[in-house]
Amino acid sequence: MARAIAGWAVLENRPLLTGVETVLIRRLQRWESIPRYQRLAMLWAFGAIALGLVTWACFALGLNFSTASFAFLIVIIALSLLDSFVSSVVFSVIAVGCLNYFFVAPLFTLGVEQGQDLLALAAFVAASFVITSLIRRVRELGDIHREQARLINLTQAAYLAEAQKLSLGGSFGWNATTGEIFWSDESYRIFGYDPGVKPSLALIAQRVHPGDGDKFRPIVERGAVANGAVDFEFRLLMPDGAVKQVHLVARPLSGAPGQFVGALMDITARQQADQELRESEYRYRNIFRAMAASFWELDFKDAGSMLRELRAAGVKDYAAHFAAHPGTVREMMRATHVIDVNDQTVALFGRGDKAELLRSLDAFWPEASNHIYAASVIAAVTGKPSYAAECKLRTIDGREFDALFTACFAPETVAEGKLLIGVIDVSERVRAQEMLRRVQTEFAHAARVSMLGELTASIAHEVNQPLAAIATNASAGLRWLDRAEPNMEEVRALTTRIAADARRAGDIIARVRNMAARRAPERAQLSLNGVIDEATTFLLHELQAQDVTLTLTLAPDLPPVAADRTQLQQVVVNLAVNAVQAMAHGGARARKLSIRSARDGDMLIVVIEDNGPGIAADHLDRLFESFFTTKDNGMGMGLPICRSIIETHGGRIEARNRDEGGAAFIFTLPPAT
Amino acid sequence: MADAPVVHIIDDDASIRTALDSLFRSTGLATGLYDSVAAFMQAPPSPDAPGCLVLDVRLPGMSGLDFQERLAELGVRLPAVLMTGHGDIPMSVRGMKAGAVDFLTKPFRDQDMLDAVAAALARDRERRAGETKIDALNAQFATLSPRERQVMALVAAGKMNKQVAGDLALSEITVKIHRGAAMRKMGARTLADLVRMAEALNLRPE
Repeated sequence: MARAIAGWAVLENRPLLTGVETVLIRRLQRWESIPRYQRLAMLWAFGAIALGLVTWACFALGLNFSTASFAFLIVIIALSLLDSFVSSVVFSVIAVGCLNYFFVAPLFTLGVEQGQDLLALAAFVAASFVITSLIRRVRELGDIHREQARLINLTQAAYLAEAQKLSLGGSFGWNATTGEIFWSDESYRIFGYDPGVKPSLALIAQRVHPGDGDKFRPIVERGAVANGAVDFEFRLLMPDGAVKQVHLVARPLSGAPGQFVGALMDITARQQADQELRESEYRYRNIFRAMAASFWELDFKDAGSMLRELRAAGVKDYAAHFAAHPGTVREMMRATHVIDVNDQTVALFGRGDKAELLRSLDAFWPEASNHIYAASVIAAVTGKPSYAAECKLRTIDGREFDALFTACFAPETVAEGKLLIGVIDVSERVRAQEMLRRVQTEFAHAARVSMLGELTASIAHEVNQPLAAIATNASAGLRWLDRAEPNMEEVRALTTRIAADARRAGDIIARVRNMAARRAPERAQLSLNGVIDEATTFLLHELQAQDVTLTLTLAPDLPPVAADRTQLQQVVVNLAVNAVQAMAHGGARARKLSIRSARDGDMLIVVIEDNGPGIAADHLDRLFESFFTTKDNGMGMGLPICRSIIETHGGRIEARNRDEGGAAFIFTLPPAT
Repeated sequence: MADAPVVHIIDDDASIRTALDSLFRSTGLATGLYDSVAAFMQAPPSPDAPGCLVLDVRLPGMSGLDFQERLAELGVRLPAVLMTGHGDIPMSVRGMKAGAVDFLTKPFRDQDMLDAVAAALARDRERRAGETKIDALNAQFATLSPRERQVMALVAAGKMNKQVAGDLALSEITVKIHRGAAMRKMGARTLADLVRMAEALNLRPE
């Protein structure tokens, strides 16, 4: 029984007890809390006194045997309610003794005269035994019942406690009349108190956030007065400074005025998550609305079903299919609808009216950019997270511009058939790049012209040779004709040579004009060795005039390069002229220029070496800087231009000193793909 | 024909070479063609053969100017006409100092070239003619006895017979005999002739 009662304390969500029940249980609890031997002593003392008193009263009143027996029976029943079967049996025997001694003739003896009396005594004993046994059985049944209930309650309480922990929810009870408060474990945890302390409004007030005190108090007062249900959120300020957001729901207990039951929920985490979600949504909307990029939300459902139909029809390679059926791509574009766009999109694509942009996508997509749309669809279908490419897009007015198009395929939105795409106007950048290319071309041209200037003497001499030959041949021809017997044979030979020399002069001039030409670079598949040959032809005379011996070591079977012929020649000529000029300052030893071509891994490599004085150590790092020059009349543009040409062609250029003396310039180029 | 002068053309440019060849041949001159100094050095013309050189100042291997100086060292004394594609003053001065007859800038007028070559050949001829006369004098001088040479030198220096006799410790009669023999051997008809011959032979009294 003690354990059974103790179990009650575990019950946390049982209904609140009525006042009478409470008093009874308090008594029982007090009785059960007395040690057993003391309790037995008290019981037996009490039983002896009770039996004594009944005996004295009955005897004094002169009651007959039957009446006295009833009185004794009542006492025994009352005693057997208080303790065990054994005690009850002992009291029954004492009671029989008393009856026999005081009320059965002969009086004041334990003997029995009449058989009738013996029968009555036996009946009394039997009755008292039966009653005590019955009471014992009933008590045992009650014990079992209570034990079962306790076990069930224990389990339920454990589940409930766990569930409350999980839900971050606790329960409470409040008797507004008595001020008594009951908290579940979780409620204790929410308020941050040890389960040992006794809950009170003061404890709660300590925790309520100062900012919510005003909000909390009237509700408590109103709840106490008006008995209305309450449902509100408030904050707790914990001793460590943490703030908890708590949701409280309470309602009056039906049939028990002034008493409330309620639930507490720690919603701090949920609140934070909600807040973050709201902020995220807010940020997204802000980005969508206010970013300088143009954003589009597209409905892709119809286009998606077209894709599924294609797959159902057996199309496996979408790329090939789209390439073969450009019409399909166009149809899918028509089936892609614009749901929403931001202001930037209106500014970029529209005429100030957002509504007119909410139409199918094909209006904004020039035919020339079809392949970009197709590629983005394929990227989405093949599970790529995003796609980006530069292409031409079209405004509502039909103006086309260079755009960077990006599409994001978030699985959630794709599942909804929605796509988010972004467009950035890169026409300025494209224009700037175009400008840069033009400036580079101009500079390359300027450098070529400057280089030609340095070669003027050599070029003039080279042109002069055929011209001198032509002039001499012509006058010799006239002399042969003027002779008494004109030598026609000689004149024919001379005329043939004049024609050949004129062609030769023309070739030289064409070569120079090519070098001096100002035109946009044009990539073609070129033989690297061919370019080196042409460049050295250009330089042969200069090399000869400067007494430079040229060695060409060209690797056979090199793959072609994709390059602009003139620019590549310019690089070779420039590097060779630099070498020749360096060697001219390099003293008396035999001047040697070597040009090698070879394969170097994936790249083609050209090495131009001289045996001049080499490059001063502090110049090595600055050689390719603009306006850095060691020549008296140099502009410092030659090498920077060489580098920009080589890098534009996807290669690298570097300079170093050779161990055996002299400088080496090395450049690489990728083979044409 | 050993006497016909040859124009030796040295130029690495075949067009120029053949053009000059044809030009000179049209005026009846014989020519020799070489594409480099080395080719010319491999088969140099005989020192006796008259002629001249026409060459570019810039030639592979050795510049025309250097070549000209080199030839002088070797005793080849053909006069040279220099050509250049881009003549400048220092180069011209150096060429002329080294004995170039003319310095022509390409392209040149044919007549200028022919005139220059004619002048070079004339100079060659003159030099050869002068050389021939001195050779003859030398041969005659070689027939003189030592005493006759001494007397000739002193007489050509303007000394009187008596002074010569005193210088050489001879009698005046002996001096007169030696002087007569020397004039006869040298073929000098007058004293003035003898003095000129001594000058040409660069004869000085010991």
